[in-house]
Formats: sequence, C-alpha cells, structure tokens
Amino acid sequence: MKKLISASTIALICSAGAAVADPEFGGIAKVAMKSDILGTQPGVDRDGITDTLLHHIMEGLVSYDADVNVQPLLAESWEISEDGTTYTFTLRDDVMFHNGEPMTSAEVVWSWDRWLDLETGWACTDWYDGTEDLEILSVTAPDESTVVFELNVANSLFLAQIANIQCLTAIVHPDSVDAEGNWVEPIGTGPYMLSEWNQGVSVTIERFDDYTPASGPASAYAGERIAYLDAVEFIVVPETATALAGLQSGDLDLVDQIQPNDRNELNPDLVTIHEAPSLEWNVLLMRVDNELMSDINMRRAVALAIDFAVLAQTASSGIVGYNPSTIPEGSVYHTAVQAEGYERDLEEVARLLEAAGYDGTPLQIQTNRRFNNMYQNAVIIQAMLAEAGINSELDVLEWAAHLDNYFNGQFQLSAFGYSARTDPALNYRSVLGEDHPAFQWYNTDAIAMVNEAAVIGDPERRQALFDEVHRMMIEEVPTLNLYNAFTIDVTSNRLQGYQVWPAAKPYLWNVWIEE
Amino acid sequence: MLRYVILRCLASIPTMFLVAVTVFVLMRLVPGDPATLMVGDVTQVERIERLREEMGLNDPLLVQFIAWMGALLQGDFGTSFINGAPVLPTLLDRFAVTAQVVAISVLLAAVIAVPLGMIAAWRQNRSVDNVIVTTSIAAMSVPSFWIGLMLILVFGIELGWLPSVGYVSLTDDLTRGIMYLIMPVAALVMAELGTILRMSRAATIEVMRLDYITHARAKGLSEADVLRRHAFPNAFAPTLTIIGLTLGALLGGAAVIETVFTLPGLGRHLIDAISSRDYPVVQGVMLLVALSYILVNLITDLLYPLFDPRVRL
Repeated sequence: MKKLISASTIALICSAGAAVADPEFGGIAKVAMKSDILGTQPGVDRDGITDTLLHHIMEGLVSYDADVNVQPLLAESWEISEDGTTYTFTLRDDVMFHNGEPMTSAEVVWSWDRWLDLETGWACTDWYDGTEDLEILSVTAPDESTVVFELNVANSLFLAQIANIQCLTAIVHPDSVDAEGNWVEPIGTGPYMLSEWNQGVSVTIERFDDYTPASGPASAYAGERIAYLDAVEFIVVPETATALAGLQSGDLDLVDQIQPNDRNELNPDLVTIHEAPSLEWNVLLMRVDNELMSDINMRRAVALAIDFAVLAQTASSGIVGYNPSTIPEGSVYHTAVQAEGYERDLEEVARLLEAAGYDGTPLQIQTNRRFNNMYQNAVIIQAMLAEAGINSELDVLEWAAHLDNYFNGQFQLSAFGYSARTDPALNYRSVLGEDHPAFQWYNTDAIAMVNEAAVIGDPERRQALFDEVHRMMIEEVPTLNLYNAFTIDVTSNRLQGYQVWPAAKPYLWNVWIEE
Repeated sequence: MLRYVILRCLASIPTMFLVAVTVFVLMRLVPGDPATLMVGDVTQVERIERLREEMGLNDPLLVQFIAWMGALLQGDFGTSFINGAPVLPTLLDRFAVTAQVVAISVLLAAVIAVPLGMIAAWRQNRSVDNVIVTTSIAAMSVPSFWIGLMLILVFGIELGWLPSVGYVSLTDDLTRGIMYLIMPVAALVMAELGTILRMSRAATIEVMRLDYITHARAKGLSEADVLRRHAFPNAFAPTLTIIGLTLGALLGGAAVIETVFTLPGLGRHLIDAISSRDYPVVQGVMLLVALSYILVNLITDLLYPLFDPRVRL
C-alpha cells in the first residue's frame, strides 16, 4: 500500500502544518449522518452509517490499520497452526467492558456463538458456516486469556474476514441481551459508549473513561485509539446542502462523503477538506450472455472506444486515475501488470464493429441517480461511445430497480460500482463465479486460481495468480473496470487531527477540538 | 349532525380498504426487492433467500395481504423489514413532528392570507391589490427547498441567529424547540400563502358584487364593518375548504421541507421506506395519511355551518 502511505503522509504533513498544538481532552464534536442508524446490534440491522457509528462503541479481536492491513485489537497476538486450520488468539488482559467487567475468553466465545447463531440474524454467517468454503468448526477457550478457532480448511482470508468492517465480529458483554436473548444495548469495549439515541434525530456517544488503548501506533481502526472528545453527537442531516451550511455556521464539525462539485460551495477559510482514494471501485458491466454483447469483438469495441484516463479525471475532478484492475490501486498486489489496460483506438473500434456486424442498434446503459458517480460514468461513456460510432441510450432507473437488475442479470450494459473489499481474492469473487446471474464472468480457470489464492498464504504465488487472472480478464473483456472511488470529507477548522483512509469510514478517536 | 358524522365515518371504511389494497399492490409492482437491497452488492444468494422467507415475501400475494389485514384489524401494523421495529409507534412519533409544523404553518398562513385576500378584493385592480397578488404569486412560484436553503444561508450562516441542523421537540424544550421550528414554518407559510390568499380574494370579489353588500353600504356601515360582518362570513366558506385540503395534503408529509430542515417527519420517513422497499412501513404511512386526510375533510365539513348558516348537515 505504498501509494496510500504517501497520500496519507502528505495529508498528515498538511494538517500538521495547520495544527501545531498537542491534542487536548474535552469538547463535543457534531457529525452529520445522511440517515439514522438502523439499530445498535452490529452486523444485524446494519448499513454503512450504522457500521461507522458502532465501530466507536464495539471492537473485535483484530482490526484494520490505515493501510488496510490486519492488526491486533482486543487480541494481543495470534498463532496459526502449521496446516493453517487452527488460529490461537492471546487476549489482552487490560480490556474492560463499558459496565466495568474485565474482558476474558468467556465473553469472546459467547459473542462469537451469538453472531454465528442463525437466530441472531447476523449478516455474514455465510462466510463462516461452510456456505462458501470456510467453516468454523469450533470456538473454544482453554483458559481465561486464550481463544482457539478450529477451521475446516486452511484459508488465507480468515483474518481479513474477522476484521471486516460491515460484519463487525464485536466482542460484547452478555448483559447486552436480556434473559430471552433479545438485544438490549451494546456493552462493548470501545473508546466511546452509547449515551443517547433520539430516533430520527441524533445519536450521542460519550467517552469511556476506563478505556485502555491497544499498543502500537495509532492507525485508523487499529493501534492506540484515544478518545479526546467528551462526546460525539451524530446528527441526521439527509440533505448535503444543509449539512455543508451547518458546517459553515458552526453547527457541525464533520460532513463525510461529499461530491467533488460540493467543494466549490465551501468557504476555504471556514473548513478543511480531506481527500483520499478509496477501495470502492466503479465498473461498466457488460452482460456476456446478451445477444449483442456475447460477441467478444463487440465488447472489445466498447473497451477501445472509451478514453479511461479522461473518464477517471473528469468524474473524480482529478483525484484518482484509470485503474484497469479489479484490485484497488493502493493494494500491495496492484503491480505494473495490474496497471495494463485498454488504450483508446478508434480505427480498431471501426474494424471490430465491422467484424461484429454492428448495425447501429443503440446499446442500453443502465444507471441510477442515487449514486452520482454511476450516473456521471454512464453519461461520459455514452458520449465517448458516440464519438466512436457506437450508439447508446441511458436507462436511468431508481436504485432499487437498478440493483435488482444487477442481481438478476437483466441488463446489456450497466454503470455500476462495488463497495470496498479488503483482499484481492474477495475483489475477484465479486465478479467471478458460476451458477448465479449476479456474477459477470464465468471462467473455470480463473475461478480455480482465485480459489487457490484464497487458501494459500505465500504472497509471491498469490501475486502470480492475481496477475494471470488480470491478464485473462483484459483478454476476455467480461467487465470494464474504470477507476477506484475516492472520498472527500470536510471538517470544521476547530476539529483537529482528522484523517481519511481507504476504507472511507470516518472515526472520531485521535481527534480533538481546538477553539 | 351526529347521524351525519356516523354516516361519514362509515363511508370512510371502503375508502380506507381501497387505499390499503392499492398501496399493497402498487408497492409490490414497483421493481426492486427488499431482501436484495438489504444485502447490497455482496453476493450472498442464500442470505437473500433466507431474508425473503423471514419477510414472508415467498408467500402468495393473497396470503400476504390477508395476513397483513388480519393483523391490522387487531391494531398491529407489523414490523419494519429494515430494523425490525414495530411500525406504529415510529409512525406516530414522526406524524407528531409533521403535524406540529404543518398545523402551525397552515394556521399562520390562513391568518395572514385571509385578511390580505379580502383587502386585495376590496381594493380590486388598484395598486394595493397588485402588490399583494404579485407578491403572493412570486412566493408560490419559488420552490420550497430553495426558500429553505436561502433561509438557512441568511439566518443560519450569515446572521447566525437560528440553528441550521438538528431538531428539538417542543415538548422537550419549548424555547429551543421554537428556534428549530421558525425556519421550516416560515418556508411552509411562504409556499402555502398564495393559494389561500387567491381563494380568499376570489371569494370576496364574488360576495362584494352581491346586493346585500350594496345594502349594507347604503345603511351607512363603515367599509371595515361591511367587510368583517357581511363579506367575511360568506366569503370564508370556500377558503376554509382550501385550508382543509392544504392541511390534509401537508399532513401526509412535507418531505422536501423535512429533508432541508432535518425534521424527523412523516414525509421523510415515507421516502426512506420507499427507497428501501420497506413494505410494512410504506403501507402504514399511506394508511395514516389517508386517515388524516379523511378526518381533516370531515372536520372542515363540520365547521361549515359555523360560517355559513345556509349549510345544514
């Protein structure tokens, strides 16, 4: 993740220039969220906003650092058996729950049992119950500070999965549920505790004074996380224009995920803008089982008609560039091979269209307006295709309908985007597969290679596999990768120390208020 | 009178049933699947199937409808697909917020618009009339979200007098609650003023032409008395209908105003539920909206005889 390191270092230097003072305790930060949280049980009633908030209150055994590498959090260390199927975690002995009880292996086992129980309705049981290839056979506690996971097979993704942000495998105190096992409130180990949830209006969290941070340098979700703020109030502000007005009037301290154009509305004296590339990625999906698109000449023609560099530049206002690979730009596995993509060549397009017998029938590009990036991509691509002699029409759907069509494979072209995955194998598994129309690319060799990469740990062998899959993907043109998404967050000038990272999840520890 | 009320209430039952059927069917005709939306772009086929089963979406439509109706008759509006919370309590909370803002706004708009409309009618085609009519049309023509954002820019950012984000309930803290209500109420009043004003003006012009007004003037009554005692009671009845309709429509949620001013109202609740295909919530909101519409119209009709003695119920 070298590139990401350099990007965040630059951000660090810039903000360090502005803020010379040391962190100080106290104050309340106000943060805008686009909609209310869905619940307080992690991974159950969840969406991105709920995840962001709950990560302040609860923690798992491991977590991601700013370069999206897995680091210990509640675990002090871990050992993996030789055959790769036994993970032994040693727990930290200085962790307290919000109710004052110390954390031991008993609560870890209890929590994992709860998440893996289908009755709980936890969103990611499929990852651990053998529905995919991995199955947790048992979670046991040989002593107070040791927890042992037995897996059915070796799997190099296991740590990345349990560090997953969406399906937080939170270690919570059993008093979080009532006698019938119904969720009451989160009693976690995080730097903040839930203070008040005023439904539809706001959620307030306050500092947990008995919190002992993990050792290691502060880095996003990992390391020494210190809550300097007395409290954080997350306020529901659905309209970005209102949120930005609130930021400039002093009613808010943080608005995350704004659009590039919104930056022009901001008074640079009043706010600080933070930008970083993220792990999400934009694509133009092409249905290979569609009559017209099943011809590889047609798919290649579309690929060579698009000027990807200009597309990325225009859509992101220059924040990110063309990434032809399914693997995100910042990943250590994103090498020169992954950077090889398509070069616009209109003469070749004309030749390919003739070979495909293209008669000028307009292609249908599905998109939606909920996600501005997908809409913008569709508009720009339509114009570029027109220049190359390919007619197309935009089919602007409501997001629910667009997503439904994606799942059922009901489209010809679709300007779509994927949320963040934290391992290249998971990235590839989003597009590569069989037996379901939601997969875009069916190639048994590629599937076998990605499956191998998901099991082995050797980075060199994994790199070779990913490089080969990338070459095959460029050759077969089942889907066009466009560019990685980016995140633009804005803070008030009184909020200090704020940093953006590739997972694009705001966090309010290691930040402080300076009047 | 009582007989009339009972008859009207009985007549509303088939209306409510039709609303229930229409909403139920329409929501399921709209493309998009609640389970898919919950899972997102992560390909978990088994989980989608499991969710559909839990939500009862795999049952035949008629079975789903009968189950929903049966529960409704026992006062059970069901639980939200998205967060599993019971539909009704949230609905009532959200409705209370909307009702508070809308009731104050419509009352204020009426208090301002009715006299202004009468003055405009009295001074028909003179400069006072022109100023009043032009201003009201201008206010009516500007989109309410724009008015909202301008209010926030001026009073929230430039002057810093009023809070631009957040919401405090009047029952929690009266003074702060009022501070949060000023801008949304002002925006709604501006948006609704024009309609009421024009109705009041038109109705007054009609009445002012009638013989009994000439008679009242001939008696030597002052113009103010003519307007207040003779023109107003007869001209107000049609305006009341418009006020009732406006109130009914806005109670269904002033989604735009609620979004701009971060009010946790019914309109925003409905929009959120529609985009996440949360069927039980959408159905609940629509029933409540239909019910409030029916009630507001009933009350408007009951108020008629107070202003117009010719009307008998």
